[in-house]
Amino acid sequence: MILSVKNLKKTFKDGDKVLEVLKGVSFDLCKGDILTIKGPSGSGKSTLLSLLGTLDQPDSGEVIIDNKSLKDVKDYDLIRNTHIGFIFQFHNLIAELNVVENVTIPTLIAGKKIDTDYVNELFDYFDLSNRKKSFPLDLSGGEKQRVSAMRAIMNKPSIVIADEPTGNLDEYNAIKMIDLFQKLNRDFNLTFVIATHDEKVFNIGSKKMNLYDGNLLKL
Amino acid sequence: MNVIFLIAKRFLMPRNMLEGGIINIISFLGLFIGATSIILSVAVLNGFQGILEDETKKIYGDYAIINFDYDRDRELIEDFEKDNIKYAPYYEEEFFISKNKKQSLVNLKTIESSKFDDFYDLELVKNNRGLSHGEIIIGQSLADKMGFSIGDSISIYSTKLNMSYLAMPSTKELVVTNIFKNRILRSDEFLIFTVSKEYSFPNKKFTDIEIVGNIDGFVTMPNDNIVSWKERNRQLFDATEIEKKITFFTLFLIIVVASFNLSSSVMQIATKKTREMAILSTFGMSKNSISSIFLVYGYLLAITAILSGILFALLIIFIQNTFGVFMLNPDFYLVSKLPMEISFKDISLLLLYSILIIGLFATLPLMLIKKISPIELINKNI
Repeated sequence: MILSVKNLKKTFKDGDKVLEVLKGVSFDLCKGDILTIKGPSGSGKSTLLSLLGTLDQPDSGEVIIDNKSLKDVKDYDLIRNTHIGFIFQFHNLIAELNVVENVTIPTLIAGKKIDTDYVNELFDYFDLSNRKKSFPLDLSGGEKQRVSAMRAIMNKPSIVIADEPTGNLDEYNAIKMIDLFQKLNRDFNLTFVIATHDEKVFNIGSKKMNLYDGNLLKL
Repeated sequence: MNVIFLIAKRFLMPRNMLEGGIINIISFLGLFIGATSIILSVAVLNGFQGILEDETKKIYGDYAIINFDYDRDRELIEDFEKDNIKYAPYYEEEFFISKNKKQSLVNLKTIESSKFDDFYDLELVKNNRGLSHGEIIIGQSLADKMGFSIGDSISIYSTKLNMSYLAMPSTKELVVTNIFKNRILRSDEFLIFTVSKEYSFPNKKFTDIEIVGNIDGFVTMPNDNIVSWKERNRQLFDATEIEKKITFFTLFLIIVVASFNLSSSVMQIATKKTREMAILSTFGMSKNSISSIFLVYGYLLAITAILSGILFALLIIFIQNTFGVFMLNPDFYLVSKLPMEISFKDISLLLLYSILIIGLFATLPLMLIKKISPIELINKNI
């Protein structure tokens, strides 16, 4: 099991009100699974992804990544750096860094030496070899999102978390992105957890779930 | 390249100058101007201090042995002779000088005759440096004040009330053979040089010895009888030192004010870069490392500005010393061009104090940055 989520609960306070966003979410993923989650806005998709990505902590329940319970983890930064890759709705590249620097930032943060051969392979794979020295402002929307995906897998993470990855793309680039996810899953046996409103993205899931009223319903 | 340094460097030199570049330039200019002002001002004060030192040494030498005792100090004199250290035995007496109802108090410095010629580096009106018994060299200011010219015979009266048998104060008749120019410590207004051939050295009449050169190897310092040119004119040089320190610290306030500006720049950049902070946090960068980016950013900006300021000041000093761009009226300032002297001690002090003060001010915004939680950043920005 690469990811195991057990009875995850999360509440938020809004003044005197307590909002129960996740009411006991549980699921398991094996390596190479693609979990797609859909649900209405405010249903808690992003909250669930934040908890999986160790950006936030649950009120109760447990997340186990690569047989390691997050309850036992002291350094969440390290877990994010080594086990989790993020792709966001907006590319979120750092404008001041060029493409290759943006892609290698997780490795640089880890303080590891850049494996140039691996980086070159990635750039060839993503068909962005001629854009290495470009800056994000010089890239098209589709290219930016591909760079963002490349950055997410740079440290060979256990899971890739994607929050509305095609939400900011036109249809053509959205389809290219969907193809890319499938290709990455196939070629690298990568595990994805994708939250989306886009039916096309939702349909690529090997496991599909609907988050509704704080509960995850298997479809 | 270290990721913290890489990102800090890129924040400092953004591609879009309008975004962060202007903030950086304003902070840069403040520190640049501060550093340039300090180095230039201190260089000018050092320059004038150097002139004071040179001119003073021309009249007083480097050291003086006060209350010289031949029996006690004989070995020292022998060492000076052996090592060709220049020295001049002398004694000083105060006299009144008067002409046409004008009076002046003068200090007659009688030097052992064989030592005078090559010891005192005087700027003389007449080229001939020779001085015999009964002849004197007076200063230009005294000559102007009393109306003396070369060749004049003048009478001087002892300030000690040693009356002659006619109940008159003891007097000396002396001939002005030359006039020297040296306005340091008003010396050309009260100092008169003469030589004594009646008494050859060693002689009890010579009470002191002036020395030119480094005597560190000859005597163990401190020695109560040996005083440097600086100690003999302590008030003046203490005043110039204090003036230099006050100037340094007053101008350092520019650096302090610019550091406030730097602090505000770091804060502004940090506020503008919350999205980037969120991205870095998402990919596993710790809060401390994120804060370090802004600390390094602040230091890179400040050190670049201060070093540029120092280099710019050094360039101005080089141009001034080579081409003499800024001219002065020598009647007032002793020199015809603005003197500038580089002091590496002052540059080091500036760098050290700047690093400390900038460290303090660049750290202030970090306290606020550290309070921001990653999830807050991410929810707001991603």
